[in-house]
Amino acid sequence: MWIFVLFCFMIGMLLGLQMPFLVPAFLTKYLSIAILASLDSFFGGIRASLEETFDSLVLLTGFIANSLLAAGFAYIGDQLGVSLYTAAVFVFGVRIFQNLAIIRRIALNKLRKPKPVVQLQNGDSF
Amino acid sequence: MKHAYVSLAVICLIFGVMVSAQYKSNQNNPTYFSNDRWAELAIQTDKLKNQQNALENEIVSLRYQLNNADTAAQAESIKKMLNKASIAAGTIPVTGPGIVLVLGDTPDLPLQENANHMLQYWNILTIINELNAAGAEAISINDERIVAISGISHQGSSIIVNRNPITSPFEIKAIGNAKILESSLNLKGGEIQSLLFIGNKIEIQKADQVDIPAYAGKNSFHYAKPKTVI
Repeated sequence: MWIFVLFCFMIGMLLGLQMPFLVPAFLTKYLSIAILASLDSFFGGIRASLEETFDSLVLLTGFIANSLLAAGFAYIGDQLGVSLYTAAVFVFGVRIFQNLAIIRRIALNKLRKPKPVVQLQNGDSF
Repeated sequence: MKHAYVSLAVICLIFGVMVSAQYKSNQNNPTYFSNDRWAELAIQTDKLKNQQNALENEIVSLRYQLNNADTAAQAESIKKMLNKASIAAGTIPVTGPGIVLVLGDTPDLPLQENANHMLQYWNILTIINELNAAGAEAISINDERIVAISGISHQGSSIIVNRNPITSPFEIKAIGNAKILESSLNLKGGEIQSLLFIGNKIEIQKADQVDIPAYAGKNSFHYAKPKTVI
């Protein structure tokens, strides 16, 4: 199953590399923030599936809404001369790290569970 | 849980497209300046351009005043001589029949290939030379009058005429016998032919009235002095 996800990512990369046109220079800034948003959704999705609270509708709408909102935010910031872009980068960065930390913890717990835990008795020593 | 993989895969697909598209366009046109710096520089350039325009207008109007002051006091023949000399020197705007030539780069090619088709200063220089050889009486490029002391050079990718940068499309105006000018430009093996061959967009139009502005550059000579006193 994870191989299927990885396979889709590869196909996406290939599609992007084969694209006949370049992203116009003024859009690259907004695209980069959309990339961050999708990275955030991706890790959020993994986390939710590990926590078994996964809802695909939440994930997909979150993905689309977050990337549009972030790009729009950055655009408004550019128009006003405030670098709201940085705010979006910051928020997504923090969330990605948080999600990664939670994923790590869950994975570690899953790895630990099957192993027999040795209970220390009174009088035992290390 | 099956749903989870499907929607994660969808997101990964889009993610992959965005990442590689971004990577590709960043490889092709790296941004040396951040957007903020860019905007700042653009504003500065704009300001300086406005200043320059204002100063050039002042120069032209002051020269007008000078000419009028001279001619009012002196005889008609001197005025005629002065007019001739002014046309030759390019210090007054002139009008007359001639041709208008519009030279463009090839905008529909992708950036990298377009660089090979960019017009260089020597292309313009050659065309000006051809026009002069064909008997043009006044020539301007993007409203920069070509005079005896005009220089055409380049700085980076921009072309400098009379020390002012000009950009594509280049509009070259020439006053003279329109037929002769046009046919000499269209000669086989001429510059226009070879530019058309590599794909530049060129339009040549004959016009009954071509307006060419005055030269607005350097007007003081430190080294050259007249040898015989008039």
